[in-house]
Order: sequence, then structure tokens, then C-alpha cells
Amino acid sequence: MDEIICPLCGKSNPIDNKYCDYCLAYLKPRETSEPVPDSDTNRGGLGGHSTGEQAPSWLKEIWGSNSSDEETPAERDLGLELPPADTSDWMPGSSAKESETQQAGSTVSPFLGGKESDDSDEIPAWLNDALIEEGVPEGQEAEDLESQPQYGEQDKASQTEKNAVRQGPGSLESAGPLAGLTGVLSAEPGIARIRKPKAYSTKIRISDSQLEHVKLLQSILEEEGQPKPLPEKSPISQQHVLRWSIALVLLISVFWSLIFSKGQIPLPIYDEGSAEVNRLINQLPENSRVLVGFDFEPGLASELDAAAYSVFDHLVSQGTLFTTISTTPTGPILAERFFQYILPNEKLIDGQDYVNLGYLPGGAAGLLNFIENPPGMMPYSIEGSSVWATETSEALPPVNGINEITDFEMIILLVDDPDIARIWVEQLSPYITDSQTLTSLVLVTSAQLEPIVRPYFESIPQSVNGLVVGLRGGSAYARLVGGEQLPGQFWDAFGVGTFVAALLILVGGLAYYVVPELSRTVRGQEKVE
Amino acid sequence: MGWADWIGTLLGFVLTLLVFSYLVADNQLFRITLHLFIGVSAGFAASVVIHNVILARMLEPIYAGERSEQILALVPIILAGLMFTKISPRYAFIGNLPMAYIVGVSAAAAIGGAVLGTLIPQTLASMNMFDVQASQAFDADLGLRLINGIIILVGTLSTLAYFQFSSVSKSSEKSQLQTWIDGLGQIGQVFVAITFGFLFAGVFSAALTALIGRAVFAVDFIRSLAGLFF
Repeated sequence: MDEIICPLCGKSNPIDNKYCDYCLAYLKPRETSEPVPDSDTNRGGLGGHSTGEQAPSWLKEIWGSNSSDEETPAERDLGLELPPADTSDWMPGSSAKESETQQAGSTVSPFLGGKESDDSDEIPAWLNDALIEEGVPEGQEAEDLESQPQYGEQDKASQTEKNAVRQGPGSLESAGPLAGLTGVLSAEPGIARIRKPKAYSTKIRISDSQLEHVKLLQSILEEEGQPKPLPEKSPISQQHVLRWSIALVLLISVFWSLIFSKGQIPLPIYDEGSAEVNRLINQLPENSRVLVGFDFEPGLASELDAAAYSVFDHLVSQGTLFTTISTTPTGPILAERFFQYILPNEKLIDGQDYVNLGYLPGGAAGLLNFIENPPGMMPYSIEGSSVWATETSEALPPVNGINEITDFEMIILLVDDPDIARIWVEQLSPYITDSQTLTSLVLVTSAQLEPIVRPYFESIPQSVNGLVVGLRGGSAYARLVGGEQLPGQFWDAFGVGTFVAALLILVGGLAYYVVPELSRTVRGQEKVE
Repeated sequence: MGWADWIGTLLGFVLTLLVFSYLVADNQLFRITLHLFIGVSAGFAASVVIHNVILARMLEPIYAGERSEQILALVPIILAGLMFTKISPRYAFIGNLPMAYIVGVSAAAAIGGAVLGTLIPQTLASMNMFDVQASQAFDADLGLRLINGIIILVGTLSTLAYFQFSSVSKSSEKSQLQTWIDGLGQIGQVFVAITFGFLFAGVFSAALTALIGRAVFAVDFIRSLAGLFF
């Protein structure tokens, strides 16, 4: 049985049916008494209202000129006549010329007849990649820009073209629900149009002067990318000479005084801090127990050795027993070195004349704990043996009878770090300033600490009872007690070195101010002449 | 001197010369010496800590101490173990407990010491400068002490004025108070300059003494060497 497919719903119907059994759509084209208008009679308007005879002369001319244009298949299908797209007045490039170039497959500017550059050697590669179109005179650029259609205008033209298509002649629908109707708008005329798009040039058009600028910019960029050779440095600069000169002068003065000068510069007569330390040590009973903190770095051992030498020599002569402790890891070994190698008398015996408690960890908290409970915090010596009294053993002589920090007759701190010195003084201060306490605190410090620790010594009540500062303080103490070996050896060189350094600073300062002034004066005189 | 002493002294002399070679220019020998010192210092510090802290305070009480010492020794061991969780980002929060304990105890000790050991005593000392009776007890020269007190008072106030960081007024003219503070700050600048000069002198003095110490060592070594051969 023959069947016919409904164009609307797609279901099969008997071939005799005029309407679809399912959607009632026409299954066959309707036969109309109204003839389908010829395309020529429908140019320019909606179906049937305008014929070739009725059209004005100017419209006939246009039609006539376009009659030779080849219609696209879509136009033929739709029975439409599109208005010419490439004959706008604002577009100087003629359609004929463009069609020629399009057929040739080349790309030509649609806007102007500017020449294209083929010699890509003259322009940089990066700009050549962008397909430059050069050679346009500068004055023409503005006109070209004005005459070129903007994007909005192009859209408008395209829309007008589409509207013209939609408003095409009244074609008769042959199938579907609109079968039999005329003047039906096509669904997507833009898509249905099979037409070669217009070719627009993608090249940048630049003038000669712009090309010159491009070349200049490229040359600048290339120069920036190339490493510039540094000016050759002289192996011996002015700074080198100055540094070597200062070092040489200082070294010569120090070595000369060490080798040839023997006690020619007298030791300092009096130092308040050193005199106070001397007084405190003289008041100590025989075999007194002194706690010594070794808290300095090996780099400043020379200075602190010289400063502490006479103080400890004095203490040893009185039979003092020492207990050492350190809050820096290098302190214990420096304490051993000091008692074994630096002091002039026969070597002190470990465990009998002194005991080294070793390294005290914990910073300020550890120190506070030790001050509050010495036996509990540091129960062993550096060798690991028990120091304090226990049920099975007696305490070593240096700590015999010591249960609290104030049981020591004196606390001496050898220190080169301002923070460590401050922590010691701050933690000990409440115990030292107590009127019931007989323990005194003495600092033997590096010279660089004097501004930090002197206020503790000068204040009333004193947080620090005695102060020996650097080589000068040690030398003053040595002069008080008569032991001038080590400080005396250093003092001559120290005096000469300090004098030379002061002289260098003075000369350098004068040169800094005088030389520019002199050169300015000379320059002024030259200008006057 | 024995051979060991000779070798040690010779090594010290050579290393001293290598350090002095920096005067000519920065060179590889100086850097080798520098790295050697850093390595030796770090190694020595580590050995001291292991021997004096970890073995003596943490492990020894565990196997040689009494029951109470063993229990007490467990506390730092556990806290130290928790510190290792800081290695893992996932379990790092567990390490916050010992960290909080350390920071809290250290801060308490430092702040307490600073207040009781520096702030209050130094403030009282500055005031006591003008206490005639107290000054007579310590120093017979009352006039000199009063002058000293005035200098310290002016220095303290002017230095504080120099370091005042108030906002600048929008109006172009300075207020009378601002003018006074600026003037006082100029005086404070002088005190600050004197302090820095004093600090520089101290640092130079310490460095010069260290140089003399090395020079003494070098001269003694050369003399000993000369005495050995001649």
C-alpha cells in the first residue's frame, strides 16, 4: 500500500489523504489559482505589489546593472534577488576589481588602494609576521580611517541585506503547515546563503615614518638585550690602598710596641670600678667561695683574659675556691683553659680548688632556676661526677655548705654579650640588693659592654657592686695589686694602637671636610681666571 | 712544649695568618678558615649539649636515678618527643604544647627580670640622684652628684623627645608643644650621638685588644721557634 509521509509530523498516511491523520497538515502541495509571480516582477518589494513596469527608472537601472550578477543557489531556491552587497558608495574599491582579486585568490585591502609591501627584509621579523601593509602617505591615513566602515556600520549593512532577503518576493509554500501561504520569511537566510565571503586584508598599514620608528625601536631593544661590558676594574682600587694603609699602620705600631717597647706607657692609675672590686676582694674571708660565670666567646678571650688576670690572681692569692658555670656552650672549656693555662700560679686542681659545673641550658629561665636552687639545677660537674652533698658523698670543697645562691661570698661574671650580662644582672638583682645579703656581684666585661653595664654600677642602690671593664680596667686593677704581667704586656701596644687609631680618625675626618673644600676653592679660582 | 703543643701552636699561627689574609682580599683560604671555625664551634656546642644536657639530665636519671627522679626525667623526654611532631605538618599542632610551655616560661622569667632588675631599679636610681640624704650616704661630693643627676635627667627626657613618633599635624604651623618637643629632640640627638660614639669606642677597644692578643701569640711563637733553632 502506498503511503505518504507527513512533512510536519513525519508519520505515514495513506497516499490518498489530503490531510495528515495525525496533525491535519497538508500532505500535498496546494493548487492555487494565483500564479506564482516571476522574480522579475517582484524585484524590490513584497510579493506582487511592484512590477517591472511600475518600478521607477532609478530602480530599473539598478536592476539592469545587477541582472548580469550570478545568483547563488540559495537565492535561486528562495526566488530572491539580493541587493548588491559590494557597491556601497563608502567603499571606494569597486566590486568588479574586488571580484577580480577574489578570483585571483589574493588579499587586497578592501578600503584603499594602498600598496602592499613585498620586501619583508626592510621591516623587522616580528612586524613582518603581522603582515604589514606599508607605503601609505601620512596625510591619507586620516581620510582612510574615516572612509573605512566601522564595525557598527558593517553590521548595519549586513542587517539591511538580511532584511531585504526576508522581505523577498512572495513565494508560495509548497509543504508543511504553512503550505499555500505566500511571503513566508525564510528560516535562516544568512545560513542558507552560499556565498564566498568578502576578503579583508589582515595586514597592518603603516607609513614610512612609522616604519622608521619601528626600526629605531627595534634597534633600541636589541641594544638593551646585549650585555654591556663592565668597565675594567683595576685590581688595586683606591679603597684597597686605603684599607691596606690603615692596616699596615696599625699592625706596624702594634708589633713595634710589642717587640721594642717594654712598659714605657704607665698603667692607668685609678679606675672607680676596679678600685671597688679590689676593696670587695680584700674584704673576703680566707677560703671564701666564689661563683664565676664564664659567658664569653673565644674571639674575645684575649681581652677578657687580660681584664680578669689580675683579679683572679688576687683571689687565688687569698685561697679563694671557685665554682664555674656558663650559659654559653663554649664557656666551660674557656673556664678550664683560664684556670689551667692563663693564671700565673701553679695550676689549680679541679675538684679541689675549683669545680666546673658546665653548661647551664635554658637561658633566663634556666638561670633563674639555678639562682633559686643551685644544687637541684646543676647536680653534676662537667665530668659527670656529683658535686653537692648527698647521702653517700660529701660536697666538693668549692661548694661545701652552699645551698642557696647567697651562700657564695662573691659572684663574678666574665661576659662579652650585653644580653647575657643584662639577664645575669636582672635575675640576680633582687638577691644582691637585699640588705640582708652579703653576696656581692662583680662584672668583668669587654670594653664594648661598658655603656650597657655601667648604669647598674652607678645606680643607688647598686645592682652591680664592682666593675672591671676591658683592658683598661684590668690594667688599673693590676696596678693596684701589683700583678702587671699580662695587662702590662698588652698595655703598651694598646696605648700606641689607640693613639694611632685616633690620629687616623682625625686625619681622615679633616681630609673628608678639607679636601672637597679645597677642590671647590681651586675650581672657583679657575673659573674666575 | 711537647709535640702536641707545638702542632697546636703551629696550627693556630697558620690559621691566624689565614684570617689576616682577608686584609689583602677575600680569598678561598680565608673562607676555609671561616668554615673551619664555624664547624668546630657547632660541633663542640653539640657535643657539650649531648654530654651535659641530654645524657646527664635526661637519660642518666632514667637508668640510674630513684623513682622520683625517673618520673621527673620523663617530663622533659615527653616534651622533647612532642617537639619532633613539628616535623610533620599534619601533627605539628601537638608540638604547640611544649612550645607554649617554653615560650611562656621564658617570657615570664625575662619580663619579671626586666621589671624587677632593670626598670624599677633604674627608675629609682634616677630619682635618687636628687635625694640629698641618700646621695650623701654614698657620695660626699653632693654638688657633683646633683650635676650628674641633672645631666642624666635632661639626657633621658631629651632622648625620649627625640624618639617621639607622633603624627604630623595637617596645619603648616607647628603647635607650641610640638616646637618644644622638637627643640628638646635636638638636644636628645646630641646625647644619642655621644652614646653611639661611646659604643664605637668600646667596640674598637675590644677589637684592638683582640688584635694585640693575636699579635702577642704570633710574636711568642716566632720567638719560641727562633729559640728552638738558634
